[in-house]
Amino acid sequence: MGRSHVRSTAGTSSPAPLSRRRLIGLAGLAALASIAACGGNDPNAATTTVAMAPGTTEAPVFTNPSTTVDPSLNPVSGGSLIVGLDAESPGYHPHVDPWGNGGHVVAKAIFDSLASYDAAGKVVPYLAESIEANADATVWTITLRDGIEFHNGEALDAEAVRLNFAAVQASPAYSSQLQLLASMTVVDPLTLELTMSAPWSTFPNSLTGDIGTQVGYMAAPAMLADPQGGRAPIGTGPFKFVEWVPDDHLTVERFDGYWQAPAWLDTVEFRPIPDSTSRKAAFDAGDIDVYYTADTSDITAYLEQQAAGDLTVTIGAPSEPDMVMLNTRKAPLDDVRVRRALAMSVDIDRLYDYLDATGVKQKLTGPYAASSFWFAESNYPEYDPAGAKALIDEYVAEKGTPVEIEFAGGQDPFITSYQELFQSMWAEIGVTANIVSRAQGENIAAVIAGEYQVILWGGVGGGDPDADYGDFHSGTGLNLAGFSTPEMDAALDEGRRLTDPEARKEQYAIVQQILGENVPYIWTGTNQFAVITPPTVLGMGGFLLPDGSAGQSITGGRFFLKDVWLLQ
Amino acid sequence: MRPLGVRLLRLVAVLLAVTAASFAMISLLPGDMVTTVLGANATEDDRAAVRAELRLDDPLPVRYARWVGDAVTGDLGQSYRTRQPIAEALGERLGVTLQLVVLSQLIALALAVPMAIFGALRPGSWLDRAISAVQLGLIATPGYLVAIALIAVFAVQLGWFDTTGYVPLSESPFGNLKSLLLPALALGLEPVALYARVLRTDLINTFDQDFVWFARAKGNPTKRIVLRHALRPSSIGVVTLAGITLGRMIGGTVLVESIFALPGLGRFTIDAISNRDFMALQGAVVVLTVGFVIVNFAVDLLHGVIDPRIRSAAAR
Repeated sequence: MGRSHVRSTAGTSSPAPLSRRRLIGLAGLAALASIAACGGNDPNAATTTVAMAPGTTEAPVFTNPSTTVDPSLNPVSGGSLIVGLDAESPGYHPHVDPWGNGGHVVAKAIFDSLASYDAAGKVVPYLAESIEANADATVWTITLRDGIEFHNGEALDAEAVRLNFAAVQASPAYSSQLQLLASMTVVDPLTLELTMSAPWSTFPNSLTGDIGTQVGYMAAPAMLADPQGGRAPIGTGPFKFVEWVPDDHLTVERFDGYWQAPAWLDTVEFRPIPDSTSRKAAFDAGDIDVYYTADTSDITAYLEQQAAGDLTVTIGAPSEPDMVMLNTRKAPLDDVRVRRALAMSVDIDRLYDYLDATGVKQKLTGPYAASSFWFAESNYPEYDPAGAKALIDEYVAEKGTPVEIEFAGGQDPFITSYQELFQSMWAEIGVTANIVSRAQGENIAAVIAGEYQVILWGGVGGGDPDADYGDFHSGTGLNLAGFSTPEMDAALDEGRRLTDPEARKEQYAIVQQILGENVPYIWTGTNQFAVITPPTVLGMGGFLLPDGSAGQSITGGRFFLKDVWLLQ
Repeated sequence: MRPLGVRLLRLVAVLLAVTAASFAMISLLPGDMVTTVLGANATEDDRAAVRAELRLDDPLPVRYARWVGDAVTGDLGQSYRTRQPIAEALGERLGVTLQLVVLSQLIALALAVPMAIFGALRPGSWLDRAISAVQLGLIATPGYLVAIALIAVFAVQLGWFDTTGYVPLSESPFGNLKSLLLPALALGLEPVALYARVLRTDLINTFDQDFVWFARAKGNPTKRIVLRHALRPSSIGVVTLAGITLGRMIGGTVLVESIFALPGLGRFTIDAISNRDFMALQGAVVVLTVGFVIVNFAVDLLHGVIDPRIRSAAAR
């Protein structure tokens, strides 16, 4: 069903006008944020639906979703939804295939994860009944709920979970996510005991089924045994796989044997539309029903339409920050003076003016916002172009060569113009930045291969610092900036070992101070995604946990469709 | 024309040359393929396992020879990225791109032929100059802009077409045409000017031939002279050009299929290049090369149909 159908039920029929501003704006931060490939999530984030007075253009007011939906409306079964994805995935095997936002949106329909987040951002058991540790967090016991079945009728039992973890351990791409897991014992059909090689206090964080925590999704044993399993995924989720035509669509239908209340929607079709301009046009024309974006000016424009009752904007709370990643393995970025100078010359206010993000984004001095429990002061450089120029002059005098860097980003003109802002600020301190515009897949491949110098990036920070272990530690496959120190490794290991939050915070303060001093990343602000739907699509912010309490519906650009329904 | 056997031998030679070149090029790209697959910090054991699996330690000619050996048996291998058999993936996507390119060529010719005829009938007239101006505009407008403008006007504002997506012919012939028309326009508008200018020049030359003067002297109306006598012998240049332009169009499908979210060979190829999926790229190169050579073979055959003098010369 396209939006035309949704509209007909809502009594509105004219497509939204496509102004030049919106046409340009839609190519903005959505693409920037969508290049995020790896990293953590934000347990402190809560999903909100935004309510604005008609005609208001001030910063949005975040309110609880329940206040914006007529309580007299009861969800009804039926209908279909078309979701536009920002990228296609190579496959849908949770322990093999790398997923961005699009892959996780599909995964959250087909798979369930052992843990999830409640509305306040706390990790809670989801597929599991409980996840409990011994005193020093070296032995974890996962107890499963009774009676859960995969879509193919196999039972979700302790052996199935063991097979999933074994598949992760055998996966070159993901084995690092369970590197502390030493052995597994099936105690009884619903109980799995995991022995860690070292204390791992935040192990449940790794089971939430998100970017950086794909380990948490549970796939059917038959799918794990099938070398082509990722082409026909089998999970326990609210929707079961129907068909996949790569680069065209993937269709799922409601799984009536679901262990919770069945989903409301009959079917969901996911359409990968890699070009952000086309994707937004598809939403504006009613060809897709669900569009997600992190483009602040775009969100502002949609909020105005929401005020007129034309659509619904559901915003996830700030998650992984936007940043510029510096490859510290490559000269001249292997010199801390150059990295600090690049950060010192970036005027964040000018960036926010360009992004139409003043009052929406928060400035950062590290991976965690000042409002975060984990935030610590650091020596991260302040805006000081004169000081930056002095550092570059010193470097050039010493090395005898000018500073020239390659600065990669997405292909949208908006992103290129954004990069040109950095380029001009860096030019003022004597640094030549050559802009490289590439497709999302190419940027991810280049970063994974370490073949880049400077790139617009994301997916690091924002949540529990242990989720960033892979990004900051030297011994993982995910340290894409290539920066680590023995002291930082030790602090990350200690933070992972300790269970007391205050004690952990001390360790992560050390990490932030080392990052602030050495600047492997230039932090440009918090990042927010909005999911835009027609007004007849309800429940986007109403994801419920098994006990009926509110869960976190939208994390970054990833969201649940279990409790979404159509106004008939 | 050359005998079929010679043509087939040439096809094999072209295929070997092109696939060898693409094999070498993707191997020469900066960076390590194993790092692309596993990430920069993978363990040495994992790296060695992937190198062994992909047989990357063998010399390039050996790897290429092995690939050719498998390919001649119809085994194009499996994508290391998606784990899908390449032949299956190509089969799924070939039809989309084939339809797109054919429709684009039809659109280009349908627009170019009238433009050329009107221009040739009154060279230098206001109509000829106006057509030239339109053609210049088409040449100067980037395909990306045309695609976005078509979406903005015909899909978003007017709602006549879907913005993106593909409807298989088997599902709905009308839906199929509707889903391909805008992408085909975006791809087909660019060569219109080229075709029209070549055909216009050839038509003007043909109008000066004795047989056309003879037809005029007999009192045939202009329409009949153009359509029955002049157009056919004037078409050899534009037909040849259409065959050659096919290669450029195939390149254009990379952009158009991405913008219109079509599951075709162009998108498959760019994904393969971006991810250094050399088996997938080799498969795409084979299909595209064979397609290009076959179309140009067909163009040679068409020459004989268009101009019997070529056919009879070949027979001698």
